[in-house]
Amino acid sequence: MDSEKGQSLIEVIVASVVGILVVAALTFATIFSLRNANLAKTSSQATKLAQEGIERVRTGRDRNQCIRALTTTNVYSWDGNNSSCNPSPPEQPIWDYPITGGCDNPSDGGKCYFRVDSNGVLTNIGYDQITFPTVFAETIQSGSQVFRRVVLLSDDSSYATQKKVTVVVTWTDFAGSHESRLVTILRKL
Amino acid sequence: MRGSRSCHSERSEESLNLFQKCSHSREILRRFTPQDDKQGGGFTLVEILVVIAIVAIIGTIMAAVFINTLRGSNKSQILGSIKQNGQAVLENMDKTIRNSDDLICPTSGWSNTIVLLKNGVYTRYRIALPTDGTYTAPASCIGSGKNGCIVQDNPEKQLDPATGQEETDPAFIRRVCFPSNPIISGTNILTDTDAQSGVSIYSGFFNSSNLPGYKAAVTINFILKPGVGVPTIIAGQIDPVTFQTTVQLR
Repeated sequence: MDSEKGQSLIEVIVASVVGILVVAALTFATIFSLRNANLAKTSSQATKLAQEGIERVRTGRDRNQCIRALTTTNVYSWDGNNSSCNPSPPEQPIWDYPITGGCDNPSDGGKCYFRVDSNGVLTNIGYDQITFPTVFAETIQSGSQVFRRVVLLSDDSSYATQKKVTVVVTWTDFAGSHESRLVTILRKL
Repeated sequence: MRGSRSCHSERSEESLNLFQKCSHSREILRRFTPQDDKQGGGFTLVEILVVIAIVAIIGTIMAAVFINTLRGSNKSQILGSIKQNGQAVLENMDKTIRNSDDLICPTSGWSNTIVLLKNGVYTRYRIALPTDGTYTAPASCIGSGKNGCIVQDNPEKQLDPATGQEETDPAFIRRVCFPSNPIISGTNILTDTDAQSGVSIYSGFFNSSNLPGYKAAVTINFILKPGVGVPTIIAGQIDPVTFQTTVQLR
């Protein structure tokens, strides 16, 4: 008799659960799209920064800029003829110097990692600056977002005629760390 | 005590009799339930007030969630528009600068204007802020409530009205490189100037690095914000976005 009036507890619970599910789904969809928009924006910025890095290295090659602190060698510039890089010659051009062994090998990886300034001057920053960043890796601030840019110079067998340039831009957000990686080959001029 | 005990009896021959006894005892119990002790029908004032309060609270929460949802989708739309505008401008400049024969200006220091030469055609870009002088950019960009814009035009040499001669190269360069030299009408506006759906220019500059004997390298840097018509409550949650790149002439 009484059970015919009003809703039972079960009905009320089901109704409110359905309502909550709808609202929750809506909220999650929005948050998701917002994160996606943010990520798309940030990764397009990072890709542009990586392109800029490649462009700077190319400028450095074209203008024969210095290559600093590539340890235990006499390499000081791209073609070895930039007296402003090293006060005491003789210099060795980078084309005479193979960067082999792979950048992932700690014993020679340190050769690969560089930062590049706006004029294309390369400075070696030692091994593993991506996973263990130090003050030497270049950081770029854009709003609240911080990007880190590292240039890798590496070789395959044809080190005397071309260098492989990889620019890695990394950044961290709520979902962990991301990277944008661009590769190009620069030949000897 | 006795009645309730017989209620739980399971002997079948007494079942009908027991059922009557049991329904009788239920009737007694029911008398103490709240619905039946009043005259029945309608709600009390307190009941209605409680219901209204609950509905109001739930309604407020739902409305807040819903408004936040709408705001969120608005925000992601604005972010997308900033990204799209910034990228389009960078790609456009990138391509033009890379393929140019010569960089006319800026030759030293930064400027809001860059002029390039390709096959005898001059291309000029300018980053115009809404606070800039009236003729720095088309009227749809400059002034309060406007977004500012990034514009592109193709300046040409003028005839000197006094002598009838075409102006000299240095005079031409001085004129078109001047930061507030009027942009040619019918020019190409590269950013979205709509106050609501567009983007506003926060700052920006061109810079060049020259080394004697080598082609110039140009740095482009500009910062975009949501359009000026976007409510502060949404715009305040979106950081200004910096777009930067360096391009060397080939």
